[in-house]
Amino acid sequence: MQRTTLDLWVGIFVTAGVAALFVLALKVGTQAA
Amino acid sequence: MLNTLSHGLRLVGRRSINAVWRMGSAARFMGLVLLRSGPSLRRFHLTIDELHFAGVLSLIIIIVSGLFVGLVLGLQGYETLKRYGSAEAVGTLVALALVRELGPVVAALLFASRAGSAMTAELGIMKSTEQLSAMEMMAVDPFARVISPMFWGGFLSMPLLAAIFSVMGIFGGYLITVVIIGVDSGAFWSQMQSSVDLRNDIMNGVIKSVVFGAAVTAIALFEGYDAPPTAEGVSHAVTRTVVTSALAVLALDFVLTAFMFTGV
Repeated sequence: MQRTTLDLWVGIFVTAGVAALFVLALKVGTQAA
Repeated sequence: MLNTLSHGLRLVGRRSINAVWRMGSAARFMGLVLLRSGPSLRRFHLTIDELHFAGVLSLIIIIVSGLFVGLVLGLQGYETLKRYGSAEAVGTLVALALVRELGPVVAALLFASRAGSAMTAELGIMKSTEQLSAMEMMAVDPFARVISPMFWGGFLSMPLLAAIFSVMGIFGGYLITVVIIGVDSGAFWSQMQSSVDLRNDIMNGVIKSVVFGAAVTAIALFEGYDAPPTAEGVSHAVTRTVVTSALAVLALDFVLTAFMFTGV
């Protein structure tokens, strides 16, 4: 696989993972009072 | 009678010595992996290749499994909670089950089966075809060039995969209970948000997935590196990786849960 394509897929994966963490933090959970 | 007893004791002794020897060998192996991580972090493209191998290529199985686990949890949870007149609490059930337990554990088991077994096979075949020895002969350190990037790739992938699994599961639960069954959307989200705590539930789930990622990747790499250099040896190593990783994940889950959620 070409370097740029591989970098793009890893970028998409990391962005999706970080976005999932943000969704869990902001949409699913609440901070303790 | 005495002979059988002596034979049995010798067997136990030999197995114990082998187990201790392997544990020492694994600890030394992990020490070398961590000590020689510098080049893999400096030349980060090596780790990015492994992130692609361990993370991107595991995405499909994680997304599909997460969705189905969420669908089943939503359906089962709704059917059970309906009997007690609290069907709106199904969002809480789905979210807590996923972020605390099912997300990290099932993602780690799938990760061990998909990426862990592949890492073991790759390393075992590299060893049996003497590619690792060839690298050493060319003064290229296989720990720095091959094994450490694999470890960091797996270690970094696992928490991201577990988070994606949990989000897909919650989406599956939403789909079945709100969109298909007709539970009130506002009640689904508000009950969930009032019960799921960022630090106690979500952060603890993330910590679990980090620990599982390190454990599964370390087991997979050690089994591959330690595999006898034959076709049968590599196939046994792959089987051992999946079995040992699954047992390690479940045992670690119990220990971590005991510390995190019961205040032991």
